[in-house]
Amino acid sequence: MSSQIQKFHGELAVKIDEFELPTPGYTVCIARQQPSLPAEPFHHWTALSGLTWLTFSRQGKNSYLLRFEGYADFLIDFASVEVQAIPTPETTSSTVEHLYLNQVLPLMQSHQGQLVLHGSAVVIDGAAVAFLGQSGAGKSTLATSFALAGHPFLTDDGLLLARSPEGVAYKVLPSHPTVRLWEDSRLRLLGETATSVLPVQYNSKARIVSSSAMPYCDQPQALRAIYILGLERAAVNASSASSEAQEREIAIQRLTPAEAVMALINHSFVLDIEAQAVMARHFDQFTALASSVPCFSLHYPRHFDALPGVQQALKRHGVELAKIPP
Amino acid sequence: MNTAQKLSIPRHVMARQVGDETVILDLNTGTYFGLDPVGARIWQWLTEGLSLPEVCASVVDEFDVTPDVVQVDVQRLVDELLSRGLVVTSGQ
Repeated sequence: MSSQIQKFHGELAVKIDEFELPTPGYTVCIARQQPSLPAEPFHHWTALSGLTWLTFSRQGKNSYLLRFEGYADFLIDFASVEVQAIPTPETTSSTVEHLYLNQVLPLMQSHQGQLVLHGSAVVIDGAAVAFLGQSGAGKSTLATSFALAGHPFLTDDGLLLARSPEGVAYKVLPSHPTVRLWEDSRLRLLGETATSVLPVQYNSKARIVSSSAMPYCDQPQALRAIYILGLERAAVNASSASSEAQEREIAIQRLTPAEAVMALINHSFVLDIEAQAVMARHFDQFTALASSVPCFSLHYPRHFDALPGVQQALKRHGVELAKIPP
Repeated sequence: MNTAQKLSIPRHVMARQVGDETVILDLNTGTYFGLDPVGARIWQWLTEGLSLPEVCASVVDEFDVTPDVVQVDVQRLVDELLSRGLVVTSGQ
């Protein structure tokens, strides 16, 4: 017998990528250079470069100032549900829009009680499967590879979930018919001919619109399973195989319920980590989700030639899951 | 082992059972912890107000292990929970 306490993921801080959702409007104010922050930030996100990318400050009881360093400030008033964007003079309108759609909006949705995760989703044999991961984990590349093989994508990053009235089933809501890929993935998966639209200033990802060759699903789909990319292998795989052998294999392993809750939380959007009532609600949401939807760690060789094998393994896995009664 | 010691959950700590495990959230720090099935049962008994000897007796009954092993293991878990502020002593 052994009782065990494990600490998971020291903080709730999450690194943000981009994603898009249908959205209410926001007001764009006259551009200005960013003044000193009126209040000390209570939280910040750091880019892969190590520089501060986004700071969170409170403006009042129900108001926040989100500052994207060098690009734009967003003032969010939850009392009136109004958002003001104040770009710097150098920031393009498409960048402001992208920051709002992909980062500010999901944070707002999460704060207002919706389930929003850093993940992509595709439709396989009539059900959605989701891939969660931090920036660079491969979720957009994996979703794109599935779409190119005829399995439509629902979202390439922002994963918005809706719970059934009975509370036991979840659906993935479609976000936007584009995927965003780093250059190596774009060239390898799509070649030179793919049409890239509306670049943004803060990274070099190409934005590709869906097509008959890369279909998009615009209807909510029942969520069958969640696969999490980039978890530490040692934590989820007790195999005695060498690390080199492990790197060559595709491994799918069911997470324990507690591991699943931790992984979901670690891939969620959280606006105010100090708002205890909101944190408590997030906690209940993710506990319920982990109790209803099976969650797995997914490891596979990180090269493009492995992707067809990953697709086959996940399709087989989906068939097995479908046989299990809910 | 302090035989009269009882433990309680401070206001800033939340716990939820998920499957046969338990996840604990420390709202002050935003830190989460997981308890495996055995730890989850011990947590349940502790937070129901059982004393440490009562918890140990329950573990012996449910998991078919010897009392000396149980006592060491329960005390280790309790010490860790106390050190992380996830439980506090409520009686001496």
